[in-house]
Amino acid sequence: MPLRKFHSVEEMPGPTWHDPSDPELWRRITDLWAFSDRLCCRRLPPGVHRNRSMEELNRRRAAWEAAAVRSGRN
Amino acid sequence: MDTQRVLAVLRALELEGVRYKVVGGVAINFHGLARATEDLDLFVAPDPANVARLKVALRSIFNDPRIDEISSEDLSGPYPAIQYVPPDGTFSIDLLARLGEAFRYDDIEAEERSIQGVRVAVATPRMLYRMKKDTIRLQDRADAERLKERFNLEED
Repeated sequence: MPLRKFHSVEEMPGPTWHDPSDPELWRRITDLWAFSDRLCCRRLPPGVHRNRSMEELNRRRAAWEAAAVRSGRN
Repeated sequence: MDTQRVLAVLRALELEGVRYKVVGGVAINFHGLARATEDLDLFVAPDPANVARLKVALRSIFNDPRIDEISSEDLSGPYPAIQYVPPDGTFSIDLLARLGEAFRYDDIEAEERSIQGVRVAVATPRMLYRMKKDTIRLQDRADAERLKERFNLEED
């Protein structure tokens, strides 16, 4: 892929949407998720975690991410 | 997250006849925008029979006795948002029965999609927009803006 330069983030092209029936979409999802896993090899605490609200779930998720960063796994 | 594992979970849910709807980042992907996500968010009907089927489906994939800790009483009672992390700890399956007073399973407008041959119930773009537009998380608000633009959605 050739190098492209931008003066600001606003100049950069937006996300590329695909038709859901486009076979290219699944390939892109697979490649992107695999790439993301390689970049961010966090490990979550296995098991069942109960939350009283979505806010509590998000706080727990953020705590896991912070712990992963502290441990150098992110 | 690994697409094949997500597909395996969705296939198991279909085989067991679980009443669920995909929401969150995975739903955004299924609507056409490839973006990274680390959780499979599912709205599930919290009645005892459905939760029993859900547990059978998850056990068929993960063979993890901790799955038995998921209960209808929790989901329909004080714990409407349960995270299940499989033994390898690589991703989370977030099981949601309601979000505050605004959204319950029956409120989630969904459509059926075939994803790599698996029949999947996916929340509609309009539903996802409504769920995400007023949240605090930046990722959710960014998703809401993208959905609004792509699908020409209007404010309620």
